[in-house]
Amino acid sequence: MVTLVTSDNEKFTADKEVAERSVLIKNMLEDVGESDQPIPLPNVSSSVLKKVLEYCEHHRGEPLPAADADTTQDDTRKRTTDISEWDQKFITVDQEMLFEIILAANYLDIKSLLDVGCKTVANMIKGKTPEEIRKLFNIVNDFTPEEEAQIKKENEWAEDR
Amino acid sequence: MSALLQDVLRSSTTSNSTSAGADSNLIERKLNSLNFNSSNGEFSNANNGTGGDAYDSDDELVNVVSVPGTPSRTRPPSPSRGSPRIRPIRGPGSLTFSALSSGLSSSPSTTSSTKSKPPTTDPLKLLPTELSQKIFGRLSVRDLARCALVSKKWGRSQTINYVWFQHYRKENFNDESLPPGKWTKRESKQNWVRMLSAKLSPSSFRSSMMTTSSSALFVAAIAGQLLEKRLLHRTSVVPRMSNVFLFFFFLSYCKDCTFEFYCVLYKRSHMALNTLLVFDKSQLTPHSHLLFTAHNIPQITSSSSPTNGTFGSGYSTPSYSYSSSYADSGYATPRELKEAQWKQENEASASPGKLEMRAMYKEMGGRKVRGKGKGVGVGSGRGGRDKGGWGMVEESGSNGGKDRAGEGWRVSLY
Repeated sequence: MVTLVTSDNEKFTADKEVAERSVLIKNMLEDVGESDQPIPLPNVSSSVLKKVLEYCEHHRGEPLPAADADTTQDDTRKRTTDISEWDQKFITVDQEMLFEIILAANYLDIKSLLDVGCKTVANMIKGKTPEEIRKLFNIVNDFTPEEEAQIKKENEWAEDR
Repeated sequence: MSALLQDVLRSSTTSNSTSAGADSNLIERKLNSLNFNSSNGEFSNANNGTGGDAYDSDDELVNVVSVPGTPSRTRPPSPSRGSPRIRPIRGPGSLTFSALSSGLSSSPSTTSSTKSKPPTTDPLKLLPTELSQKIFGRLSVRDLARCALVSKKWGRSQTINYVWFQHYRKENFNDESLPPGKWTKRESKQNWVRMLSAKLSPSSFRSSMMTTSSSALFVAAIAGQLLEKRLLHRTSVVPRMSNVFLFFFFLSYCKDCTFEFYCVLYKRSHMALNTLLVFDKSQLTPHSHLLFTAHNIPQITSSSSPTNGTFGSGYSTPSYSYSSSYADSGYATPRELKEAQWKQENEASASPGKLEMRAMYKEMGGRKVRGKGKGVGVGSGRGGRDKGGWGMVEESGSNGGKDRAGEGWRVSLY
């Protein structure tokens, strides 16, 4: 078992196998060797770590993606926007949590979770009009109507692609 | 300067709260004099310092980058796009306020926190660049184009520009397995949406560039119209507009100034005289910008087309014959001519042509070509390069300068 300490000082225990889905933790454990020292995770809050561990628990035993898979597979993986049903349910959280999870996955180096998060955000943007995107992320439209019309005109070519 | 000012202010306030009597009196006077000073013009300086922090587009630019193996965490020199526009909004007034109240304790953080009051979940703001890249990298060209319309920050986001760059590379080399490519200062300055649109749909690119008045001829036509409507006043006459590039340089200089000048080149064909016209934006009616997209242009341009060859010394329109394909539309700008030429060349040779190969070579890291690429008349064009935000890529040596100049136009008129 591994003990993890979150930024708000909460302690979590998890199976080594589960915790090691995070490459960061895996490397840490390898560096430290056998020890019962709790691992501090100052960038992750307890609510987020709970979610992350839930994810790792569900996906335990699955092969980890190779470290160098990044460049070669990335393009093909970009194409596939499908997310497994469980993942989809898992990632249905409010936006704030979603971004927290993405940041945590990035920090903890859990590639599959990071992918799920990024895919989800991308899917949220997909097919939306600019106005819908603004609403989605609560962004203020700071274009003048003229500027907007101009950019629209410039980017017209992309609409039928 | 601003840091110094704040330092003094801060130290004086802290001592102000602890000490009393004559001491604080003195400090107060000092403080007053400081404020007085700053309202006299020091403020513009301080404003730049703190305002830049609060405005979020800058830090994103800093973070741009990024392929493993590229040496760079680069940022374009001065984010000239944008900053002049911001200044009026966060005028001296607001700063005086913050300097007097919250600014005394800690200025940039307080201002930015009040600014982001509505809880935005903008991914570009919340996530680091690498992650935003991953997200936007999954979007289709169509979605990306829509993203440009979301806000100014999104519109000029380097993260999104980087994604466009990847799309462009994919399209250019027809190869998915390529490494991401170098992303350096040079790349970050180019507007890859335009590069891609020029590549994928030359015709719509042409028309969109027309509406954004990239071509001097086109603008000249408009200027002629405006002149007739007495919207313009002539400020200077350049007897022979032999150096278009100098003019563009001037344009970008104007852009960097806070006052907004629109500069328009008017070419009177029958006298072979080129006139530089400057008019103030405020003189235009709200709808006069529509002139830029509208009507009557063929008439004027066609009258000036016979002198096309003398238009600027930079190029002698070797590709003029291509204009026949545009005869129906009544106008053909140098850019279009070039594009038509490229298109024909591309069609003629199914395998990558010379231009393509050269671009490819550069893409793969041959940055040396830059010096060699000096074609006719490019030299003076370089001056404007750093000022105009995204320049156009040096697709092929001798066209580079001209393209970039054309781009400078657009940016300046933006």
